[in-house]
Amino acid sequence: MVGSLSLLDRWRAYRRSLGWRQAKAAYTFLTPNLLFVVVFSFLPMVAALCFGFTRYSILQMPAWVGLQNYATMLKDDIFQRSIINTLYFVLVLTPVRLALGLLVAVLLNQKLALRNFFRTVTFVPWITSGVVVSSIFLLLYNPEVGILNYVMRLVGLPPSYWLTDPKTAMPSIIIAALWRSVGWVVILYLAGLQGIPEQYYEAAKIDGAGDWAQFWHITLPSLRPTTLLILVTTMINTFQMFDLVYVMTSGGPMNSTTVMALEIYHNAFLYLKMGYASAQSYVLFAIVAILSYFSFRGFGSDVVE
Amino acid sequence: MRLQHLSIVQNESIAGYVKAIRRSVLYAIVWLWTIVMGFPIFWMVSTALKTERQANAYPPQWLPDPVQWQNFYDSMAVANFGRYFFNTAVVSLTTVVFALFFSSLAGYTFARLRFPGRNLLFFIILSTMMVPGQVTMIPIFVMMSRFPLLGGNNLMGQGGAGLLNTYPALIIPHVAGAFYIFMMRQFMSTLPSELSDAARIDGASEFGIFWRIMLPLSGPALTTMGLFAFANSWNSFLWPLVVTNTESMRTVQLGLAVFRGIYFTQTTLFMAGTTITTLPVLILFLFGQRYFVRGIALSGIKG
Amino acid sequence: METRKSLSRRDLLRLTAGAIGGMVVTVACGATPTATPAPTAATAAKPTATTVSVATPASGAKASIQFWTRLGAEKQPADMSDEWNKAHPETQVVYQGIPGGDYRTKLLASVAGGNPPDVVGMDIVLMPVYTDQNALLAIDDYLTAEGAAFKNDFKQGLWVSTVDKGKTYAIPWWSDPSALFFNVEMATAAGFPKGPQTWDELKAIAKSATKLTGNPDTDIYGMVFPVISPSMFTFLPYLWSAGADLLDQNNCAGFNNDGGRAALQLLTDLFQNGWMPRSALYGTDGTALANIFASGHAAMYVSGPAILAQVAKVKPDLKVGAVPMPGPTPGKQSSFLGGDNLVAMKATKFPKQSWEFMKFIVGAELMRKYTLANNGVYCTGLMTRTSAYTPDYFQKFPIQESLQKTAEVGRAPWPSTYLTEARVPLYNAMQAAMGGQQTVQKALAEAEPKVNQITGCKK
Repeated sequence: MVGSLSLLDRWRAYRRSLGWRQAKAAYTFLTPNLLFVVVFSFLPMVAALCFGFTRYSILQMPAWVGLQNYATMLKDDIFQRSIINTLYFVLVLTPVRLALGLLVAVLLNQKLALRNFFRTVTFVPWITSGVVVSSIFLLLYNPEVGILNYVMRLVGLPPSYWLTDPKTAMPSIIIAALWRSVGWVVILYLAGLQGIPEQYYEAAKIDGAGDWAQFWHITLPSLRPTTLLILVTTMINTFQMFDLVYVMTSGGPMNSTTVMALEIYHNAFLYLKMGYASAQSYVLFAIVAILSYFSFRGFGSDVVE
Repeated sequence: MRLQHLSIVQNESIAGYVKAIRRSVLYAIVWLWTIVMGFPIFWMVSTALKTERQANAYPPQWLPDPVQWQNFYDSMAVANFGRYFFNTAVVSLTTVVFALFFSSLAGYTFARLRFPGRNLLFFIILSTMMVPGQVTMIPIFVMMSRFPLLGGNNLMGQGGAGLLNTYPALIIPHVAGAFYIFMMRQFMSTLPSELSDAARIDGASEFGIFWRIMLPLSGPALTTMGLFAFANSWNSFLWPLVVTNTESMRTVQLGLAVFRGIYFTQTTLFMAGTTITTLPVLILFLFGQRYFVRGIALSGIKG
Repeated sequence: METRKSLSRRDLLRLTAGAIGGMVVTVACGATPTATPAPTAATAAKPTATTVSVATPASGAKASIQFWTRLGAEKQPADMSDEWNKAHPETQVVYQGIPGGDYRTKLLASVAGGNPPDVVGMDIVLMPVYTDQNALLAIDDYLTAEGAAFKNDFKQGLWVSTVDKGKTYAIPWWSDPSALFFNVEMATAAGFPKGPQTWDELKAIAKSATKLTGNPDTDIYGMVFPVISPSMFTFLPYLWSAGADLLDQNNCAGFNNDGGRAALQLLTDLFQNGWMPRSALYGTDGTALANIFASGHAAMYVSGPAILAQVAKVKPDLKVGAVPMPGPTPGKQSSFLGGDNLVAMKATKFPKQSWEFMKFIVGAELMRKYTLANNGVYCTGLMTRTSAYTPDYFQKFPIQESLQKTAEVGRAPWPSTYLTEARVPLYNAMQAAMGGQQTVQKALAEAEPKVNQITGCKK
């Protein structure tokens, strides 16, 4: 009789346990949040998924077309180009921003006079809107009268075409995106750096480790959770980058900066193919989801217990 | 020359010399970085103070001459910016308060509580970040305009304008962002669990643990997230454009768009207007800086 | 222990209730004052627009018309709406100038959400999209009731874009013809004081005026125009004058022929000879390009009348002339008649009032008054009513005389739903050919099937 508690007894025991208490609290806490997430994020997502199987001009009701949108994508070379452009953008910007952000965070973590001023200047670009960043960089990048080329001519370098050449347009956008978003990475890395106990470094110094060894064996491993956080969130955001391209190049020259978000916008609101745009957005979703999954696998075995 | 053979004084002076060089290099790099980061902002303000003619001049003028201080006034006089600032402030502050409350609660729940379905729910929430806003905008917009029983709508959401052109329409869709939940979860997962265990033994409720212990420790994280949410809300353009219909509900970004005509942009006035509208965010930022950078060490993202 | 637990649970309940309550309160408070007033049932005539039945408002009920335009940066439509509101207390107009290039998005969203505006100032290029989807109010009966004199007073070429399948859906509001603006001094120095009348003259002026010194401060270009933005405004007239088109009447690509090749060759020559700046071909900053011309650093510029305002701002003493865009031979000039039409959305609850308001906006006297007060510019373009052009207008603004010629030789594109999407392969072909990556023949030949795929043309 000891080994076979009745169902009711087991239920009562569970109800008294910590697990039940936590579960009840969790669901109570989550309910208001989930309400908003479900209604304003999840439902629209599902709607978009359904639209992906329709022809929908927004001005009229959607009409079911099955997988036709996905089939059209196989022949749409502009869309395929946009996938390549987006991957180029993300795969260059993300590691560069991560490395640069880490370097700057280490620098700004030292004892410096005017440290707060330096930190502020790093963070300010991050609070300006995408339209403003784009407008400023349009001025700077003007190949004829822009100040960047002026300075380059002054110091004897050949002026660049910046946004007006298919080969340099995307790098120019990457630079603008980097300027704008590196501050975010710096903040997070600063936080991470300040969480590393001093004792580790002191112990390492006593053992005779140089700066580089300390960085490699203490700093970097300790920053792994931070790196995962930054990697996943910035990557998800970067895949959806839209405003810089929309204002600075409209996808040109010659589709060299057409990113997926721009193509989706064009299809949805200019060509009145909301169904097709929705299908495209799920291709984007799939790519992001897969890359995020691998990021979690590679960096954060401790994130999901 | 082996350093051991030198006297102690000589060793120290060489070490001091090396240290001075290192400091100088460090400062040089940091100043170079500051110039690179600050230059576009400087250019924005400089352009804001030029005449239209000077803004197009070549060679480019570094500093305006004469300085057109009235550009600041003119850019704000073009439309009812006083009202726009008010609207944007109301919307942004409300969004921040609700977003912080909900996301810290949810973040704590995912980080510290065990319950069935935790991972699944977390990944569902995370996945909502991965679909671009262009295609989710129309469904959310339709929800707003067909909200039942408000704005003249009947039970089925027909007949009126629902929540369009109201503060809630500007606020509600951004309150439960998956991004904030994710970030708060990361912050909260680094808080020591001994505290909550001890509190449970003492008989505190789960909400009490959250409200009285974990939340106060997350001050810096909340400040960072709050500033980010505020800046996001302050800078948003497309959603306010689509959802507002009258002058009285416009936000500052919509006001600034007045300078970008269908063919030409009034560059100097646009830059002037932008400088002014960025100031509130900058000021808030300067105030909050003390909290999130210095204090994060106490409860930060640890290894 | 028990009491603490239950107290804290009450705390939690209070807090959640407070949060939800707070949201409800915000919603309730926010949802009332500024929401657009819901029209009462009595005033709603079913939008069977073919009847001219007057939907008289029930006594005391006010009609409210939402009027949207894409002229977010202009004050004129707002002022006109204010004038109407003062004179018509029973029909109030709420004006909204939608800023930026996002007005298409907002318009679409409003239709999807079931709350479209009543009257819209709609880009003529956008019209086919809405007529195809049956979203506009047909105004034939109102027009007939108004009499032929009203309709004939408008520049006749502008009615093309208002008609679909025999029904009329719009009134031409303001016209934005593309013209070739030239620097009088440089054109005279090249031997063409009246501007270029043919492509050869155009090339001659460009060649003579271009002086590249290696220093952008003193560089002078022969020709400047934004190739990619705004749209086909600046290229289609060349196609037309050569007998080609982007899309013909069957929605098939009409540029892969001798005429199309000749037109693109003209532009390719202009660029390849170094007479155009690089940012004209690859850049999207229209303001910077305009400034090259407005500051006197270019001999020619292709645009609508809006450039005149920019010149006035940057270099008011610059002498500028205008001609319709030249053709390959004399007498083959052309122009793209862009601009906006006034339309009423089919779903409007106030069709009669919307018609009255539209009629008011295009009143000849009103047009003239606003144009004279705004440097001869009406809503960034030109007036559409012949009777509004009084002799004193041309005395005050002599350049407007030359701009009138554009209305005579110009045309609007065939109203096709696919214009916005089908132009993209043509743009790419232009950039490839002008930039030297492809020959003109190859570029156009490759673009043709892409355009046909978009429009579904069966060839």
